[in-house]
Amino acid sequence: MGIVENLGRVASSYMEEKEKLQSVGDKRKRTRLGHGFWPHEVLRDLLIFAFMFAVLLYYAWLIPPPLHGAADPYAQAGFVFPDWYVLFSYGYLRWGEYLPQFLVPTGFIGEIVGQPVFPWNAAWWGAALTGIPIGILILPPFLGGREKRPVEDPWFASAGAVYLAHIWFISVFSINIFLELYHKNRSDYCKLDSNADLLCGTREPWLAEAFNAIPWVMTGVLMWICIYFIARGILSRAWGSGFTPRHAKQIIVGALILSTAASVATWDVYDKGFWDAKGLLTIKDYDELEAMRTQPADIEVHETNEFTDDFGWTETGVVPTTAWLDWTIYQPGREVIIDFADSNGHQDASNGINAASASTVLTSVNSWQVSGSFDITEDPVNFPDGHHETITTFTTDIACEHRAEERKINDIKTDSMFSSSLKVTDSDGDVVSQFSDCVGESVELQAGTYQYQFNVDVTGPLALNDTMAKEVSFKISSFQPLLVWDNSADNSIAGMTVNLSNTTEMALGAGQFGVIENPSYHVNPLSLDAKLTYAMFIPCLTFGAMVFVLLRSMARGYEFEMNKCYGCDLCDDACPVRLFNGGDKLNIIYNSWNNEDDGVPMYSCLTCTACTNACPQLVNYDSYVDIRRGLIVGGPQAEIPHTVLQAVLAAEAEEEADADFVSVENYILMILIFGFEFYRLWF
Amino acid sequence: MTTMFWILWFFIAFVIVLIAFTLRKENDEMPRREILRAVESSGKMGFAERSFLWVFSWLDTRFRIQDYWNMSKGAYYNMHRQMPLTHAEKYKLRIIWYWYPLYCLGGISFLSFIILVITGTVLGIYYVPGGEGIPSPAYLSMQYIMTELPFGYIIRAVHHWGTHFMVASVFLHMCRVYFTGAYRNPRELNWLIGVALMALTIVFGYSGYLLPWDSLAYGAAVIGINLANSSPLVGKYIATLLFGGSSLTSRTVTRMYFIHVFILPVIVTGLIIVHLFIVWVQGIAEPH
Repeated sequence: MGIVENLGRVASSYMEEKEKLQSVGDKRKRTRLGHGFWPHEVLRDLLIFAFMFAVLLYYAWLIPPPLHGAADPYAQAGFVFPDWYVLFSYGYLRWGEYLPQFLVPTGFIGEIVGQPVFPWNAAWWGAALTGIPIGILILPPFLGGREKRPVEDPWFASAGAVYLAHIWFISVFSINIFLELYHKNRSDYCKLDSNADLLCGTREPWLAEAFNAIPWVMTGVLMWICIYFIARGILSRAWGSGFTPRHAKQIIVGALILSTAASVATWDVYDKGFWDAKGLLTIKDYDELEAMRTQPADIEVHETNEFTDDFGWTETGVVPTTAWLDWTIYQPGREVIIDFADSNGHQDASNGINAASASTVLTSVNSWQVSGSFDITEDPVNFPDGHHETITTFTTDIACEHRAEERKINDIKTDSMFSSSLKVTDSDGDVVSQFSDCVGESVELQAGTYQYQFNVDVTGPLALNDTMAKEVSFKISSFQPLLVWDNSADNSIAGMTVNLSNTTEMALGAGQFGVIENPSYHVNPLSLDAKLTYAMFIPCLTFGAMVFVLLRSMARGYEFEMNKCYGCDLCDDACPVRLFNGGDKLNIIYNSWNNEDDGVPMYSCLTCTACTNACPQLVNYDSYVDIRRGLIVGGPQAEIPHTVLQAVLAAEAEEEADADFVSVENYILMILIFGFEFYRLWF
Repeated sequence: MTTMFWILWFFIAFVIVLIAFTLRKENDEMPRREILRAVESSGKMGFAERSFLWVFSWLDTRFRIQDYWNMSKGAYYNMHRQMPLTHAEKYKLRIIWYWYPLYCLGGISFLSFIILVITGTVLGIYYVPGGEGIPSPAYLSMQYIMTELPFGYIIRAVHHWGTHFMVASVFLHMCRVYFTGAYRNPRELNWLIGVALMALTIVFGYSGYLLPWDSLAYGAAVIGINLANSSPLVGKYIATLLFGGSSLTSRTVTRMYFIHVFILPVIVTGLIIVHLFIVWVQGIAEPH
């Protein structure tokens, strides 16, 4: 007998057995067939379809589909913006750039497919991480129990909330361009394009600020929830029944104050892109950022747009230094912006102020020595009012250069035929910098007088050649803080760089200038990517926690409790009171849930717990009665004695209390009323 | 020409003879007219009923529809007999009405799919899947659809927005199914099919995104092929399979077109049928 016949035999005997079992349960026959297909379902579906198609056509008419320029492999890569539903993948791809990259040897399989080494790069991180949220969707059916309602199983609902929030955050924050466009106050945001045209915008900043703030606000909420539950757990364990709902309320307020304070205090940590935490992987090398030497400067722009008129720059065409401050990262390692371009004209090599330099051309002579001194100055004329308070040392570049007319003699580089040494000593004679062969150095020096000595010797074939010119020079430059005319200076120069050698301007400004405190101090240039990384993990947990708290509080409500009822009637059989109150079609818990007469007037109930004990769904009906009574009588719930006297006293109160009870049917009315009020107030 | 003419007429004559023989056979062996008369005398019959009966009996005498009819009738009633009542039905619970719109989402994604099939068919008539040259025939045909073809732009717009509707309603549908626990026993299999459908919907969207072969599509294709190439060991094979080469070529558009209008529709339509069939068999997990 073949396997097919065997399988057939198994299937048919299974069917026989099943039929036997099912003939027992004839009750399971469908008694009510739901809504008719015609006209109910057809009309409803047509209505929905018509509505959907109307919206679809409206969008199709309102926002036509884009068609950009033709694809051109040789063109510069343009602005690529994926459709919204694959943004999450885009986010992983972006994050992947900051994750560690490996080279994985692939062994003999790699040999076969022609890839001996597999580069685990950003693209593969992106692809692999994209697989996780999609692949993880296979798991839910195999996890958890059979509870269908989120209230009964808050964990799966919270997990879903975390998942959705994660996808939302990574989608929104993956489009850095979005935050970049909205991040800054666009009414004060300009950008210089490659044609030196200044483009300014006018977008209001609030949307950007809101989006920027969401992750940190969510972190604060998470902190709030955590502090509350931890404190409540500890206290209720320590005090036992001494811990009352009033204490819980106090903890809620206290935790709110604490977490708000903590969030506000640490706002800069987030907003500046987690500088101290290596920018959450986005900062590879601090030294590189510390050594950044860009600076804002007065820039003559070629053309401006209408928005720049508000700033009054169009007349002169020069956009002042201060205008550029907020727009780009400058020297993130320094609290005070340094004048690395010497636009203030601090350096005066001929007088040895903040600089020293010399150069010569040697022909027949084979060695050159030069020595002298220079001052790193705090000249009160140029730097009044202690402008150096915030800065203790000055970045000083020491460099020299030598080269011959010809690059090579007899295939030997002339470069190697120089030997030089440059030494800088301070006023005590201690060496602060010394190097040979012009490797150059950058040192931090304090104000004072320094000596330098520069020796050059020409050797080898170059020394023998008395006609060839050899150029030798050295340069020492010490940088001061960048000075800008402040608001009390003349209007036309306010915000501009101070030119110390321009006597007219100096007279016009009347010494009203100051150093610039660096607004980009310890700001991560990739702060948006750092925020993306952060938003992927922490704030989505908040959303999950909020859903969990909400569901737990719903689970404590009696509407949800009693909705578990499936009308088995056991409570009715167990109830000693209901027997005397007659009525055949009554069912205590079921009817209560349906807001119908349950056969047990509230104050006839003995709260004997017979119904609770009989209930297969564990509906705690007697405490529901307690609570209802408590709502009517008022006062602390735990202390109600179930006396007839109080029942009589509260009988009238019950009527009034019922007037406040909103049944499920009236929800729609309430929503309509609220909706109307909202509409009226808003529009 | 003349040869074709005679072949055609010969074929037509052959068909007529076949039909004549069939009808004659029917008259001999099947007392169709008597059955019809019996049915007609059983009650009052309008024109619609009469025509239906005629077509039905005509088909039945040829294909023995009665067997399938009885079979499907049995299946239908059996299925309904076996279906347990829902919680809400059995205990006449208040059905929570404000959840109802969430129960349309699967239907909306299906309707979007139908709209996409119709508009996509129209677009497919005018679209040229060629990526050779700058601008490519694909791009030129898109320009034609957008600027010259009557109603071409609005059809493309509906196709474009239908995609967003479909993806959005698929996502929301999954959320609804998840948060009402409808994926749990006994509906695990349908959840898995749904996950596959969602993934395929995204691939649908992506492959359609590339078809205009404009600069945006090219940028998206670069990212896509980089992702495909980055897979360990099989990277370049995946890239070749999906993009027609380990770097972008003129074949990419053709490949994407084939995936978009042939492979995916076949798979997705099949899966949708299975998905809906399972829903029909198991019933909807009602709110309760």
